[in-house]
Order: sequence, then C-alpha cells, then structure tokens
Amino acid sequence: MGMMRILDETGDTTITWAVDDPATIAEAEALFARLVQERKIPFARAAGAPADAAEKISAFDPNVEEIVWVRPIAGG
Amino acid sequence: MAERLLEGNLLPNSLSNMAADVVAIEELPDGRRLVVFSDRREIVVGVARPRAHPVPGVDWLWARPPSSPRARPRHTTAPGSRRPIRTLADERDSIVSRTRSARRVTRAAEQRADELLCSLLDPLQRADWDVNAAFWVETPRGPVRLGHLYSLIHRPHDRLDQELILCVVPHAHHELPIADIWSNLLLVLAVEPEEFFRVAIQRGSRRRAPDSPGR
Repeated sequence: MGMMRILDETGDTTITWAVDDPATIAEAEALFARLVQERKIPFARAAGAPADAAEKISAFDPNVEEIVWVRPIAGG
Repeated sequence: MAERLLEGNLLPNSLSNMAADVVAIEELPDGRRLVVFSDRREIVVGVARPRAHPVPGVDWLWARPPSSPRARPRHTTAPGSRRPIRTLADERDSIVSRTRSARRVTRAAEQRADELLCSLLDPLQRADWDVNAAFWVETPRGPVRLGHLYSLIHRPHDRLDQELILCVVPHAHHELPIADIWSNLLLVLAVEPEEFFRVAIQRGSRRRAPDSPGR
C-alpha cells in the first residue's frame, strides 16, 4: 500500500493505492501528473523516514511507500 | 517543615513576619519552595536551579554564565547618545492567529500537520522542536534554524562570527498550518538546499552570540 500526502489547510490530504490494484495505481498516477502541473513538488520516502532520507522524484513509482507533496517556495 | 524553614531563616524576613499564617511549604522541582498561607495566598520563594538540556552535549540557546555576585560599576552614557529601542511590529508575525481565524485552520489540522512534521525530524531535531518549537537543519552552506516564520537563522560556514536572517515561505503559506510550513521548508532544505538558498531573501544579519551552539 502506497500513500500520497498533499499538504493543505487540513494538514494534509491522503491518497492511497495498492500495488496489486491497477485501478488505484492509475488514479494515483493521474493525480501525480495533475499535481506536477500545479508545480507542487513530490518527495518520496520510506514510511516514517526523516527528511534527509527523502528523495525528490519526477515520475510516479507505485513501489514508493510514501510521497509527500510540498509547495514551491519563494523569498518572503 | 514550616517551622524548620523558619528556624533556619530560609524564608525571607517579610514572610517570617507572616509565619502564623503558613499552612504548607512544598518543594518545587526547580529547587524553589511554594509557601501556602491559611488565607489561600501562595508565594514562591528561592532561586530556580538551572535545568540541564535533555539532549546530551546541547546547551540552551539562552544559557549564560552565572552572573557575578559582586556589584558592578554602572556605565552611564551621555543623554544625547542614548537611542530608544523601537519595536516595529511586522503584521506578518501574527500568522498563526490569523491563519486560525481567517483561514479556519482547525486544531485537528494543526495536530495532523504536527504529526507529519515530527515524523520528518531526526531525534535531535525532534528534541529541539519539543522544547523550543524550532530546530536546525544541516546544509552544505551551514545550518538553518526553522521555527520563526520570516526570520530563519542561517549560520554560514564561511562566516563564523555572523548569522543571517532569511525569509523563505511556501506558496500560499497562509493556507497551511504552521507545522506544514516547516515540513515544506524542511524537505526542500534537506533534499534541495540550493533551491532554498536560490530563492531566500536576506532580511538582515547579526553577530553570533559567543556561546552559541556549534550547529
């Protein structure tokens, strides 16, 4: 079971998929593409791993345990 | 116990005069004593012992050497050279309360964001966050402290006596619970530090405290 966490006003919205369920994978992949278009940035990590063990990814991988989506940053 | 303290002159004179009213004296964890009077008044007496930082090898940021018990001469300055301290309110510093009221970030959202942030912190950062609501992130350019919005402290490796005040925020950050803002900045800093420094705006710089932590 993989999970995406998209930071938002609720804390984060969670989307899950099962590696043995092509339908959920297709949904997650479509969402991944949409969020990339929205300029959000995906970081993959093993569940519970600290930030310095995370990795920026550019394509959806259903075998990743968790993807945390953050927003682009700017100087304030 | 009240009698023992009074006999040993452990209470200030002003309290000794009220000795008849003392009904209980409790030892506080920091070494001071709580004195309870019969009319329900409570007074804390004594000097608090400094607490050790829970993380081995780390000191409190505000830790100072104990002050000298001797009187020190007062340094006076000519009236003309005094400059009043001005505090300029930055309305952006009220983000937390503004976020809660205007954007309706709920307590549940704050809690959820806090859980995600804690899962992204290493044990040292987590201990720092629990105590100070801030934490350091190591980068190739030197550590950055996340915890004060719009005023992120950066200690460049090549300027050992100086620290820079940077401002970096996620897009539409007013929508996010504060812990999500830190998770956002933490991931970028930890994985793509150059992107962080590319967009960072420097708001100022200052000398580092001589006893500042090494991170």
